[in-house]
Amino acid sequence: MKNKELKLSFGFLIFLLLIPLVNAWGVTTYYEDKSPLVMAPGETKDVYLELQNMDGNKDVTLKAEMAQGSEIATFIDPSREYLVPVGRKDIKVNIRVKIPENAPLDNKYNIVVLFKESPKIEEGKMLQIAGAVGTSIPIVIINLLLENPAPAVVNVKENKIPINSLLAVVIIIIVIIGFIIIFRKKNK
Amino acid sequence: MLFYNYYIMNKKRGVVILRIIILLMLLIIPFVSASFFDFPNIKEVNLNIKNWITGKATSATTTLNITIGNTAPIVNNITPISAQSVTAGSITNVTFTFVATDADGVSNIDNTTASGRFNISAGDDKRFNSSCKVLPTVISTTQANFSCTIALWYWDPSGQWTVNASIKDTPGAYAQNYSTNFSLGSTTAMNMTPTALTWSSVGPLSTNTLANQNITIFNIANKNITANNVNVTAISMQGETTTTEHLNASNFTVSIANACDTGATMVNATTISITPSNITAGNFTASSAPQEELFFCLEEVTAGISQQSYSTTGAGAWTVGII
Repeated sequence: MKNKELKLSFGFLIFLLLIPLVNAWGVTTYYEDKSPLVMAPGETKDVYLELQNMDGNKDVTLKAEMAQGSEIATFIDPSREYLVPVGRKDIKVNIRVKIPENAPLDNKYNIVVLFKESPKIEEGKMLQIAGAVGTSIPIVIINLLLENPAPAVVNVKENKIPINSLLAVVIIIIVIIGFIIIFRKKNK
Repeated sequence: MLFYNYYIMNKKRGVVILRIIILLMLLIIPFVSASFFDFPNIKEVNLNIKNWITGKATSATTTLNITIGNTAPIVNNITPISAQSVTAGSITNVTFTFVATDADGVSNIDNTTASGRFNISAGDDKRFNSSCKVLPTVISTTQANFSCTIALWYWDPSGQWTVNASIKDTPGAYAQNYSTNFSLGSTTAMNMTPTALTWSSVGPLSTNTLANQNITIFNIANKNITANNVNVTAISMQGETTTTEHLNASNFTVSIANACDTGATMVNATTISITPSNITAGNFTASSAPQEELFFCLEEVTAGISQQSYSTTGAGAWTVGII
């Protein structure tokens, strides 16, 4: 009985350990709703997503698809298929974003990119399921000139002469003038 | 003597000059202490003159008890940390170095107290290493270099993280620096099991038949999968013998409830959101692991199709995705 329980526990442990190996690839974006990509009408920017396959046990090939935002975003890379070797988390997916000149200010766009892994066909399985992972790049349209006005020019004149010295000079001059006046009166 | 002569010669004129000189002296006095006659050793000069006048001894033997104050260390030169991303289902080690400066010498720095900490204002998540290592590289007699490696977990939230490096000296004076930040990206990843479903004994008149398996999805990264962002794309299943016949995708529903007639009806080659599915980021090995279960139901069999095996082998696999 104990032996059976032990085997069951061991089996469950093996199951838990295998879970991370089933599908451990992912995609990273550095733009979110709290830190969107900020662009101006007519502006073009190149951004990237990062693919990773760190905990898997085999290389994966992912097919990229622009699920949303294709009117402003295009893939720059020559192929839509990305090989992500085991142990890598820096496979870049380069995307060019071009905002139309007439895009209304404060308008928001959202680019959604899906990555899908092609499953290995297994005989005898009625319904096979592939995994897909997507991410988004939120974009906010602003008037860059209004957001970053030119800094006001402030002329600050440095006061290099100490006030004490200036006052002393003035007093000495007054004293000298006083002496001159006295001597002139005396001569008269 | 001059004043006396003036007094003798012209008493009135002498009084005027005397008044001017007194006035001049009164005006100059405030500037003596300000800067005009600010001799650095004037106290010493005065003391010597006083001693000379009074005949006081200029040297004597005395016992001095001097306590030298401790100077607190300073933490600076934290190396910049580039933008990071979590590792799906695992940890990400992030390493940085910093310099601890102690005017009392490196021997006064308590190396065992070198610590590093990552904080994010969006929550109370903190990652730390309280035993950063001193590097053998000698900078100077007052500066030591430390290396700190901190593990970020896959559910740690994205955003701007603050780097905090701290140290104490041997008397216990504490110093810290939190002037460095780094960005942690938002990573989407999932763990799905199993990846194939079967139905047992489905006949032409079968209805409301759940698959033998349900699919469990774990969130193994730091992006919260919000409501309706788990989706399924179904493909009509092709006959394995008569390939022109299909078991339509629209015959299937997918739900987070273990039941038929409650889920979203599939549409061939169309991505359908499964409401109200959501999976928050978290530790998926914990007892309360954030996960979502999907149940697949064959509501009815397409009318008129022949009895044979139908599968995704010919037309393509279904897709379960998260955004």
